[in-house]
Amino acid sequence: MMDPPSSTPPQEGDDVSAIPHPTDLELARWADGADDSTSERVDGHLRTCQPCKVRAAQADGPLPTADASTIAGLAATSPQLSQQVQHAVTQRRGLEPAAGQLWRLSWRAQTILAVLVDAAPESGGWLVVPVTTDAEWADQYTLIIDEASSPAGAPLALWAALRTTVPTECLDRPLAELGLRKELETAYNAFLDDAPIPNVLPDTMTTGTPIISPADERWEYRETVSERISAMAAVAEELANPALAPDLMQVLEAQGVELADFARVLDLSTETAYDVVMGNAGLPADKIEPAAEVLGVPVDAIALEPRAEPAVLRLLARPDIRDELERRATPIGRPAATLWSEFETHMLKVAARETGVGGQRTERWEKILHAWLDAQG
Amino acid sequence: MSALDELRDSGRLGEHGARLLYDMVAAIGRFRRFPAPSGRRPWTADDVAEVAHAFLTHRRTPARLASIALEASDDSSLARLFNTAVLNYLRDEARASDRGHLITRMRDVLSRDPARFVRLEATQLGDVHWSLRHHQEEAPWTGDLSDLVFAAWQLTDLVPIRWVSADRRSPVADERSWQTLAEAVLNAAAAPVPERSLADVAEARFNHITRPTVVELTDLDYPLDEPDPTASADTVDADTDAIWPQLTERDRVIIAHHQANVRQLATVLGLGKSAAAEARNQCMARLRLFTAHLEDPDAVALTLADRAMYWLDRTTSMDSSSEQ
Repeated sequence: MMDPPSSTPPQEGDDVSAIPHPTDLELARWADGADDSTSERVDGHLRTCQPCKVRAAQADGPLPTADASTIAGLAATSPQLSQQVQHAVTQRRGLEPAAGQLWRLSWRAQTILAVLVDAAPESGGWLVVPVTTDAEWADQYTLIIDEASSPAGAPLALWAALRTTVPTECLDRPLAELGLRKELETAYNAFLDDAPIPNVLPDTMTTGTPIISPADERWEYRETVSERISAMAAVAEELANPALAPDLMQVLEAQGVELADFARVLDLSTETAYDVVMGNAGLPADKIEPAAEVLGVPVDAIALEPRAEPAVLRLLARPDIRDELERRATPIGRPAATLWSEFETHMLKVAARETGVGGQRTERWEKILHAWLDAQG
Repeated sequence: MSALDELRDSGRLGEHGARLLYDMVAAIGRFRRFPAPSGRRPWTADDVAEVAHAFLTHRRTPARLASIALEASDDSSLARLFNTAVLNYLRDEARASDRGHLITRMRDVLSRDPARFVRLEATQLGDVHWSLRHHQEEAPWTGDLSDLVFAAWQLTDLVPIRWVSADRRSPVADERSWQTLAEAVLNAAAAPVPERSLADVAEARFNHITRPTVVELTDLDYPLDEPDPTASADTVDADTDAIWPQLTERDRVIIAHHQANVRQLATVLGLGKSAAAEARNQCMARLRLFTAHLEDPDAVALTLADRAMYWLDRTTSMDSSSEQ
């Protein structure tokens, strides 16, 4: 086994989110001493990611190896893809994107299925609804196509409420024609109105049941789908700011500039400097040129606006909102500060997803706030 | 030719795909501590082949393979999707949460309180129904299942039992929670409810739904056996002991870092900041659920935090010590 992961405590500023967790097989090869770029990546990841360190610590024994007859036996047992699926993954490349098509989206090793709802000419992208193949995990605004009617060989769950705009560059391959634009609009409007979907869906289509508690595992599932489609929406920012593609933290490291020095030169707090480097905050106008000079990057790369929707930030700053939250905290026995922190996280997360590229719906923020407060009890 | 090329060209796993599956099963058995079919550790070549074969012949695997084929854009994403599909398959098998067991447990618990719950045999209503005593004369319920699921989720103090074990099935929830759930649901129906519908509601409320195909969620696996550093007959410790096995490894890491800010937490979890904040919110929601009915929830939470720090330190340093 190679050297164990370092026990160095994580440093503020270490960004491991861009490095996906290794698969168990990658971890096994690392543990068995493979000397390749994947193992180098795993080694770097394990320096900070504690769930993966725990996983690595649980290893026992080397991998057993299979003989040729075992492998041949497994291959002979493999199920056969339906002709529809095989056709989808081999024949449809080159088709022009059009509303109602099911596509695979792909960017930097991340993939997700999505149905195209509409072109978004102002951003050069597509309004899409994420799609998964787990009908049991759907919520009340998710349209379910059963396996028999699905063109994908598996049930499809169309997460209408999680729609967002993604750049065309994420569209990897068209897979099937679904149509359903009207049904998706109906479901989305019901979500906006916080009302049930009207009974206009075809017989082959159902929806899930409401998710009303974070204790429902479907909550985590929905958040995971939301994260994955948001990651595709965020590609637009990366494309618009190519200098950001290598994280500014990496630029800082490449230049040998410590975060603390960067902050001192610009007369910023370390925390603000961190937010700037991570792309979470914009710089004051008078700091942009000196920062670009210190980092050795174009001025445009660091003159970013904060990601959050301004209407959300205004809402978060309103004293009456904070007062209301404090009033609600006491009866449910929650510290106001904790509730506020959870609320901020929730709002900014929703904002990031909702706004994506060019899709502001500012009238909804206060409604989302009250729905969230009500859900706390 | 790669595993993905084989899958696309022939519509099935070829030699490379089968080898990838075999190696993936072996790696998951090694790192996630699922019990081997032979009952021995580490997994043997026969154990791996048996599980890989069972995965391929499982009734849901054609749908899993379809999902993988549709989503995989290259060999790297294929391996990642396979990893999740196999992991979720093994979690499903390990949870032993089949519907028959859930219904048996429900019958057992409700039968213990005949003053409240009445079982109406199939001969009366064409199917086995359950009712509250004062609703048993009503016409059978025929409403929308989502109304009953909604009523079930209004209950905030149910305590699911999430532990996994190689030789025992989870009782799903404690007796009080089962009875509270049944009473609320049967009250919402105000009529006798088919047993299968009541089981549907319980499955939804206690998260006993089948694992996803290729989406990975945090879940209970088989953590290292660890000695309890604070074992005693004290109530707080007993409550802590009851909750500890129900926490996922990620929950434990989060609790061990309960004083970290979101940025630090994101780093130790290997997640983006918003995902880390969401993970913490969910962990805290679960912790509140597990501790809300206890005599001294704050003391239990603090003891859990101490234990999580001890566990994390011990688990990760074991790796170092084993190298020396």
